[in-house]
Amino acid sequence: MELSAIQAVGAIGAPERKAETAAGAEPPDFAKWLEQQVQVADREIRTADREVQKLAVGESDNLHQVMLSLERARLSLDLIVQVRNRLLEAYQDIQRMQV
Amino acid sequence: MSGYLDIFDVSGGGMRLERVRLETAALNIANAHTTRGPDGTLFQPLRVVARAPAPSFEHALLEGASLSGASSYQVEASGVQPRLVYDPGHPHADAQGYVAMPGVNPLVEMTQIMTAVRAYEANVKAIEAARAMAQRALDIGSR
Amino acid sequence: MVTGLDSITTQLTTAALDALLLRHRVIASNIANQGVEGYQPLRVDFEKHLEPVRQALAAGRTDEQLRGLLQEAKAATEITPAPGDGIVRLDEEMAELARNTLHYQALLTALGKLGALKRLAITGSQS
Repeated sequence: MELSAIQAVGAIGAPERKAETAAGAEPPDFAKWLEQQVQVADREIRTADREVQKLAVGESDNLHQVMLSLERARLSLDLIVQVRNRLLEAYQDIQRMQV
Repeated sequence: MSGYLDIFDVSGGGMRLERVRLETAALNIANAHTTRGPDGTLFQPLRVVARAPAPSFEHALLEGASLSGASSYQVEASGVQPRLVYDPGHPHADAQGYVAMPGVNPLVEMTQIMTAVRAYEANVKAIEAARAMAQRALDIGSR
Repeated sequence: MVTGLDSITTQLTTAALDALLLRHRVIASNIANQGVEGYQPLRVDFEKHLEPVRQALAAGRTDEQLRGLLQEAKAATEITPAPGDGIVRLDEEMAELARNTLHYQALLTALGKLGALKRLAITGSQS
Protein backbone atom coordinates (compact mmCIF):
# COMPACT_ATOMS: atom_id res chain seq x y z
CA MET A 1 0.00 0.00 0.00
CA GLU A 2 1.47 3.35 -0.99
CA LEU A 3 1.68 5.55 2.11
CA SER A 4 4.11 8.08 0.62
CA ALA A 5 1.26 10.32 -0.57
CA ILE A 6 0.10 10.60 3.01
CA GLN A 7 3.64 11.08 4.31
CA ALA A 8 4.02 14.20 2.14
CA VAL A 9 1.27 15.79 4.19
CA GLY A 10 3.64 15.89 7.16
CA ALA A 11 5.54 18.74 5.48
CA ILE A 12 2.53 21.05 5.97
CA GLY A 13 3.24 21.15 9.71
CA ALA A 14 6.77 22.53 9.22
CA PRO A 15 6.03 26.33 9.15
CA GLU A 16 4.20 26.03 12.50
CA ARG A 17 7.27 24.45 14.03
CA LYS A 18 9.49 27.40 13.12
CA ALA A 19 7.02 30.00 14.45
CA GLU A 20 6.56 28.31 17.81
CA THR A 21 10.27 27.71 18.46
CA ALA A 22 10.77 31.46 18.18
CA ALA A 23 8.56 31.87 21.26
CA GLY A 24 11.05 29.74 23.27
CA ALA A 25 8.57 27.14 24.53
CA GLU A 26 8.81 23.41 23.79
CA PRO A 27 6.25 23.01 20.96
CA PRO A 28 4.23 19.90 20.28
CA ASP A 29 5.70 18.83 16.94
CA PHE A 30 2.76 18.09 14.72
CA ALA A 31 4.78 17.06 11.69
CA LYS A 32 6.86 14.64 13.73
CA TRP A 33 3.76 13.23 15.39
CA LEU A 34 2.15 12.66 12.01
CA GLU A 35 5.28 10.92 10.71
CA GLN A 36 5.20 8.66 13.74
CA GLN A 37 1.56 7.82 13.14
CA VAL A 38 2.40 6.87 9.58
CA GLN A 39 5.10 4.53 10.87
CA VAL A 40 2.68 3.04 13.40
CA ALA A 41 0.05 2.47 10.72
CA ASP A 42 2.61 0.88 8.42
CA ARG A 43 3.70 -1.47 11.21
CA GLU A 44 0.16 -2.39 12.19
CA ILE A 45 -0.78 -3.13 8.57
CA ARG A 46 2.22 -5.38 8.07
CA THR A 47 1.42 -7.20 11.30
CA ALA A 48 -2.21 -7.70 10.32
CA ASP A 49 -1.13 -8.97 6.91
CA ARG A 50 1.18 -11.50 8.56
CA GLU A 51 -1.53 -12.60 10.94
CA VAL A 52 -3.90 -13.30 8.03
CA GLN A 53 -1.17 -15.29 6.29
CA LYS A 54 -0.71 -17.40 9.41
CA LEU A 55 -4.46 -17.94 9.64
CA ALA A 56 -4.55 -19.10 6.01
CA VAL A 57 -1.77 -21.67 6.44
CA GLY A 58 -3.11 -22.96 9.73
CA GLU A 59 -0.58 -21.41 12.09
CA SER A 60 -2.88 -19.11 13.99
CA ASP A 61 -3.37 -19.99 17.63
CA ASN A 62 -6.36 -17.77 18.22
CA LEU A 63 -8.88 -16.03 16.05
CA HIS A 64 -9.31 -12.90 18.15
CA GLN A 65 -5.63 -12.05 17.78
CA VAL A 66 -6.01 -11.98 14.00
CA MET A 67 -9.24 -9.97 14.11
CA LEU A 68 -7.86 -7.53 16.68
CA SER A 69 -4.70 -6.90 14.65
CA LEU A 70 -6.93 -6.12 11.66
CA GLU A 71 -8.93 -3.67 13.77
CA ARG A 72 -5.77 -1.98 15.07
CA ALA A 73 -4.49 -1.62 11.53
CA ARG A 74 -7.77 -0.09 10.42
CA LEU A 75 -7.83 2.37 13.33
CA SER A 76 -4.26 3.54 12.87
CA LEU A 77 -4.78 3.97 9.12
CA ASP A 78 -8.10 5.69 9.75
CA LEU A 79 -6.38 8.19 12.02
CA ILE A 80 -3.88 9.42 9.48
CA VAL A 81 -6.46 9.37 6.70
CA GLN A 82 -8.76 11.59 8.78
CA VAL A 83 -5.90 13.95 9.62
CA ARG A 84 -5.00 14.14 5.94
CA ASN A 85 -8.61 14.87 5.01
CA ARG A 86 -8.87 17.68 7.59
CA LEU A 87 -5.57 19.18 6.47
CA LEU A 88 -6.68 19.11 2.85
CA GLU A 89 -9.96 20.78 3.77
CA ALA A 90 -8.11 23.49 5.70
CA TYR A 91 -5.69 23.99 2.81
CA GLN A 92 -8.58 24.35 0.37
CA ASP A 93 -10.26 26.84 2.70
CA ILE A 94 -7.10 28.91 2.75
CA GLN A 95 -6.81 28.76 -1.04
CA ARG A 96 -10.32 30.16 -1.38
CA MET A 97 -9.61 33.17 0.80
CA GLN A 98 -9.46 36.50 -0.95
CA VAL A 99 -6.06 38.06 -0.40
CA MET B 1 -25.59 -26.23 -13.91
CA SER B 2 -24.12 -23.57 -11.65
CA GLY B 3 -21.04 -25.15 -10.09
CA TYR B 4 -21.24 -23.30 -6.82
CA LEU B 5 -24.79 -24.47 -6.21
CA ASP B 6 -23.85 -28.14 -6.54
CA ILE B 7 -23.08 -28.53 -2.84
CA PHE B 8 -26.75 -28.04 -2.09
CA ASP B 9 -27.67 -30.86 -4.48
CA VAL B 10 -25.59 -33.41 -2.57
CA SER B 11 -27.23 -32.60 0.75
CA GLY B 12 -30.65 -32.36 -0.91
CA GLY B 13 -30.22 -35.87 -2.27
CA GLY B 14 -29.26 -37.10 1.18
CA MET B 15 -32.36 -35.53 2.68
CA ARG B 16 -34.54 -37.16 0.05
CA LEU B 17 -33.09 -40.61 0.78
CA GLU B 18 -33.63 -40.27 4.53
CA ARG B 19 -37.15 -38.98 4.03
CA VAL B 20 -37.96 -42.03 1.91
CA ARG B 21 -36.53 -44.28 4.64
CA LEU B 22 -38.71 -42.52 7.17
CA GLU B 23 -41.84 -42.84 5.05
CA THR B 24 -41.14 -46.50 4.35
CA ALA B 25 -40.69 -47.30 8.04
CA ALA B 26 -43.85 -45.36 8.91
CA LEU B 27 -45.74 -47.24 6.21
CA ASN B 28 -44.55 -50.59 7.56
CA ILE B 29 -45.56 -49.70 11.10
CA ALA B 30 -48.96 -48.45 9.99
CA ASN B 31 -49.58 -51.73 8.15
CA ALA B 32 -48.16 -54.09 10.76
CA HIS B 33 -51.58 -55.67 11.10
CA THR B 34 -52.91 -55.28 7.57
CA THR B 35 -53.95 -58.79 6.63
CA ARG B 36 -55.92 -57.66 3.56
CA GLY B 37 -54.81 -54.65 1.53
CA PRO B 38 -56.90 -52.84 -1.11
CA ASP B 39 -55.91 -55.50 -3.62
CA GLY B 40 -56.95 -58.29 -1.26
CA THR B 41 -53.43 -59.53 -0.45
CA LEU B 42 -51.32 -59.56 2.71
CA PHE B 43 -49.26 -56.37 3.20
CA GLN B 44 -45.67 -56.85 2.10
CA PRO B 45 -43.17 -54.88 4.24
CA LEU B 46 -40.89 -52.60 2.25
CA ARG B 47 -37.29 -51.55 2.59
CA VAL B 48 -35.06 -48.92 0.99
CA VAL B 49 -31.87 -50.10 -0.64
CA ALA B 50 -29.15 -47.66 -1.65
CA ARG B 51 -25.86 -48.87 -3.04
CA ALA B 52 -22.81 -46.88 -4.02
CA PRO B 53 -21.91 -47.18 -7.70
CA ALA B 54 -18.76 -49.23 -8.26
CA PRO B 55 -16.38 -46.46 -9.38
CA SER B 56 -15.31 -44.19 -6.53
CA PHE B 57 -16.51 -40.64 -6.05
CA GLU B 58 -13.13 -39.02 -5.68
CA HIS B 59 -12.55 -37.89 -9.23
CA ALA B 60 -16.12 -36.78 -9.79
CA LEU B 61 -16.01 -34.69 -6.63
CA LEU B 62 -12.77 -33.07 -7.74
CA GLU B 63 -14.40 -32.08 -11.01
CA GLY B 64 -17.29 -30.55 -9.12
CA ALA B 65 -20.00 -32.99 -10.11
CA SER B 66 -22.84 -33.33 -7.66
CA LEU B 67 -23.03 -36.91 -6.54
CA SER B 68 -25.22 -38.64 -4.07
CA GLY B 69 -25.95 -42.32 -3.64
CA ALA B 70 -29.48 -41.15 -2.93
CA SER B 71 -30.00 -40.81 -6.66
CA SER B 72 -29.74 -44.58 -6.96
CA TYR B 73 -31.97 -45.84 -4.18
CA GLN B 74 -34.79 -48.34 -4.58
CA VAL B 75 -37.85 -49.12 -2.54
CA GLU B 76 -38.49 -52.85 -2.71
CA ALA B 77 -40.26 -55.66 -0.91
CA SER B 78 -38.21 -56.73 2.07
CA GLY B 79 -38.96 -60.39 1.51
CA VAL B 80 -39.54 -61.04 5.21
CA GLN B 81 -41.84 -64.02 5.74
CA PRO B 82 -45.25 -63.39 7.30
CA ARG B 83 -45.68 -64.27 10.98
CA LEU B 84 -48.30 -66.77 11.90
CA VAL B 85 -50.31 -65.63 14.92
CA TYR B 86 -52.82 -67.85 16.68
CA ASP B 87 -56.08 -65.90 16.70
CA PRO B 88 -59.12 -68.08 15.82
CA GLY B 89 -61.52 -65.13 16.24
CA HIS B 90 -59.82 -63.14 13.50
CA PRO B 91 -61.91 -62.83 10.28
CA HIS B 92 -58.91 -63.93 8.20
CA ALA B 93 -57.88 -66.87 10.38
CA ASP B 94 -57.33 -70.16 8.55
CA ALA B 95 -58.86 -73.54 9.41
CA GLN B 96 -56.33 -74.07 12.22
CA GLY B 97 -57.03 -70.60 13.68
CA TYR B 98 -53.82 -68.98 12.52
CA VAL B 99 -53.62 -65.55 10.89
CA ALA B 100 -50.75 -64.57 8.62
CA MET B 101 -49.50 -61.14 9.72
CA PRO B 102 -47.07 -58.98 7.71
CA GLY B 103 -43.48 -59.65 8.77
CA VAL B 104 -43.06 -56.18 10.27
CA ASN B 105 -40.79 -55.83 13.28
CA PRO B 106 -41.83 -52.59 14.99
CA LEU B 107 -38.54 -52.33 16.87
CA VAL B 108 -36.53 -52.48 13.68
CA GLU B 109 -38.81 -49.95 12.04
CA MET B 110 -38.57 -47.57 15.01
CA THR B 111 -34.79 -47.79 14.92
CA GLN B 112 -34.95 -47.06 11.20
CA ILE B 113 -37.00 -43.97 11.92
CA MET B 114 -34.59 -42.68 14.56
CA THR B 115 -31.58 -43.24 12.32
CA ALA B 116 -33.32 -41.62 9.37
CA VAL B 117 -34.33 -38.58 11.41
CA ARG B 118 -30.80 -38.14 12.75
CA ALA B 119 -29.28 -38.47 9.29
CA TYR B 120 -31.91 -36.14 7.82
CA GLU B 121 -31.02 -33.47 10.37
CA ALA B 122 -27.33 -33.93 9.66
CA ASN B 123 -28.03 -33.19 5.98
CA VAL B 124 -29.99 -30.11 7.01
CA LYS B 125 -26.99 -28.95 9.05
CA ALA B 126 -24.77 -29.42 6.00
CA ILE B 127 -27.10 -27.25 3.93
CA GLU B 128 -27.19 -24.58 6.63
CA ALA B 129 -23.40 -24.58 6.79
CA ALA B 130 -23.14 -24.20 3.02
CA ARG B 131 -25.60 -21.34 3.12
CA ALA B 132 -23.72 -19.60 5.96
CA MET B 133 -20.48 -19.90 4.01
CA ALA B 134 -22.04 -18.52 0.83
CA GLN B 135 -23.69 -15.70 2.76
CA ARG B 136 -20.34 -14.72 4.23
CA ALA B 137 -18.86 -14.64 0.74
CA LEU B 138 -21.72 -12.43 -0.46
CA ASP B 139 -21.09 -10.02 2.41
CA ILE B 140 -17.49 -9.37 1.37
CA GLY B 141 -17.05 -5.79 0.34
CA SER B 142 -20.00 -4.44 2.29
CA ARG B 143 -19.37 -2.84 5.63
CA MET C 1 3.61 -5.33 2.12
CA VAL C 2 -0.01 -5.29 1.07
CA THR C 3 -0.04 -4.29 -2.58
CA GLY C 4 -2.93 -4.80 -4.94
CA LEU C 5 -5.50 -7.53 -4.96
CA ASP C 6 -3.05 -10.29 -5.91
CA SER C 7 -0.80 -10.06 -2.89
CA ILE C 8 0.65 -13.30 -1.64
CA THR C 9 -1.66 -12.98 1.35
CA THR C 10 -4.73 -12.92 -0.86
CA GLN C 11 -3.43 -15.90 -2.81
CA LEU C 12 -2.74 -17.90 0.32
CA THR C 13 -6.16 -17.12 1.72
CA THR C 14 -7.91 -17.93 -1.56
CA ALA C 15 -6.07 -21.23 -1.83
CA ALA C 16 -7.13 -22.14 1.70
CA LEU C 17 -10.74 -21.12 0.95
CA ASP C 18 -10.75 -23.32 -2.17
CA ALA C 19 -9.57 -26.29 -0.13
CA LEU C 20 -12.17 -25.67 2.57
CA LEU C 21 -14.96 -25.50 -0.02
CA LEU C 22 -13.79 -28.83 -1.46
CA ARG C 23 -13.74 -30.22 2.05
CA HIS C 24 -17.34 -29.11 2.52
CA ARG C 25 -18.35 -31.03 -0.62
CA VAL C 26 -16.66 -34.12 0.78
CA ILE C 27 -18.26 -33.80 4.22
CA ALA C 28 -21.69 -33.20 2.62
CA SER C 29 -21.14 -36.30 0.49
CA ASN C 30 -20.18 -38.38 3.55
CA ILE C 31 -23.30 -37.23 5.37
CA ALA C 32 -25.62 -37.76 2.38
CA ASN C 33 -24.23 -41.27 1.78
CA GLN C 34 -23.99 -42.39 5.41
CA GLY C 35 -26.60 -45.07 4.79
CA VAL C 36 -25.46 -46.14 1.35
CA GLU C 37 -23.97 -49.62 1.10
CA GLY C 38 -20.43 -49.68 -0.19
CA TYR C 39 -19.82 -45.95 0.29
CA GLN C 40 -16.33 -45.13 1.48
CA PRO C 41 -16.07 -41.99 3.68
CA LEU C 42 -13.64 -39.46 2.25
CA ARG C 43 -11.33 -36.73 3.46
CA VAL C 44 -9.43 -33.82 1.87
CA ASP C 45 -5.66 -33.67 2.30
CA PHE C 46 -4.54 -30.05 2.09
CA GLU C 47 -2.96 -28.79 5.31
CA LYS C 48 -0.21 -31.35 5.39
CA HIS C 49 0.96 -30.18 1.96
CA LEU C 50 1.32 -26.65 3.33
CA GLU C 51 4.36 -27.42 5.47
CA PRO C 52 6.89 -26.08 2.89
CA VAL C 53 4.82 -22.89 2.64
CA ARG C 54 4.75 -22.48 6.44
CA GLN C 55 8.49 -22.89 6.67
CA ALA C 56 9.07 -20.46 3.81
CA LEU C 57 6.86 -17.86 5.52
CA ALA C 58 8.75 -18.23 8.80
CA ALA C 59 12.06 -17.97 6.96
CA GLY C 60 10.95 -14.77 5.22
CA ARG C 61 11.19 -16.03 1.65
CA THR C 62 10.27 -13.81 -1.30
CA ASP C 63 6.75 -13.58 -2.69
CA GLU C 64 7.86 -15.35 -5.87
CA GLN C 65 9.19 -18.33 -3.93
CA LEU C 66 6.06 -18.44 -1.80
CA ARG C 67 3.87 -18.40 -4.92
CA GLY C 68 5.77 -21.37 -6.35
CA LEU C 69 5.48 -23.36 -3.14
CA LEU C 70 1.79 -22.52 -2.90
CA GLN C 71 1.24 -23.82 -6.44
CA GLU C 72 2.86 -27.11 -5.44
CA ALA C 73 0.69 -27.35 -2.35
CA LYS C 74 -2.45 -26.74 -4.43
CA ALA C 75 -1.45 -29.39 -6.95
CA ALA C 76 -0.85 -31.90 -4.18
CA THR C 77 -4.32 -31.41 -2.69
CA GLU C 78 -6.39 -34.55 -3.07
CA ILE C 79 -9.49 -36.39 -1.90
CA THR C 80 -8.54 -39.57 -0.08
CA PRO C 81 -10.45 -42.34 1.70
CA ALA C 82 -10.79 -41.59 5.41
CA PRO C 83 -8.59 -43.73 7.65
CA GLY C 84 -10.49 -46.31 9.67
CA ASP C 85 -13.06 -49.01 9.07
CA GLY C 86 -14.87 -47.37 6.18
CA ILE C 87 -18.05 -46.50 8.08
CA VAL C 88 -19.42 -42.97 8.12
CA ARG C 89 -19.73 -41.67 11.66
CA LEU C 90 -22.22 -38.85 11.75
CA ASP C 91 -20.89 -37.27 14.94
CA GLU C 92 -17.39 -37.04 13.45
CA GLU C 93 -18.75 -35.59 10.23
CA MET C 94 -20.77 -33.00 12.15
CA ALA C 95 -17.67 -31.97 14.11
CA GLU C 96 -15.70 -31.68 10.86
CA LEU C 97 -18.54 -29.66 9.36
CA ALA C 98 -18.60 -27.16 12.23
CA ARG C 99 -14.82 -26.79 12.20
CA ASN C 100 -14.64 -26.37 8.46
CA THR C 101 -17.46 -23.82 8.28
CA LEU C 102 -15.94 -21.69 11.01
CA HIS C 103 -12.51 -21.65 9.39
CA TYR C 104 -14.04 -20.71 6.01
CA GLN C 105 -15.95 -17.83 7.58
CA ALA C 106 -12.91 -16.68 9.58
CA LEU C 107 -10.76 -16.52 6.44
CA LEU C 108 -13.45 -14.69 4.47
CA THR C 109 -13.91 -12.17 7.29
CA ALA C 110 -10.16 -11.57 7.52
CA LEU C 111 -9.93 -11.16 3.74
CA GLY C 112 -12.83 -8.71 3.81
CA LYS C 113 -11.18 -6.60 6.51
CA LEU C 114 -7.90 -6.51 4.59
CA GLY C 115 -9.82 -5.37 1.54
CA ALA C 116 -11.49 -2.64 3.58
CA LEU C 117 -8.05 -1.49 4.72
CA LYS C 118 -6.89 -1.15 1.12
CA ARG C 119 -10.07 0.68 0.22
CA LEU C 120 -9.53 3.09 3.09
CA ALA C 121 -6.00 3.84 1.97
CA ILE C 122 -7.06 4.37 -1.64
CA THR C 123 -10.24 6.36 -1.23
CA GLY C 124 -9.63 8.07 2.09
CA SER C 125 -13.09 7.16 3.36
CA GLN C 126 -14.93 4.22 4.91
CA SER C 127 -17.31 3.37 2.10
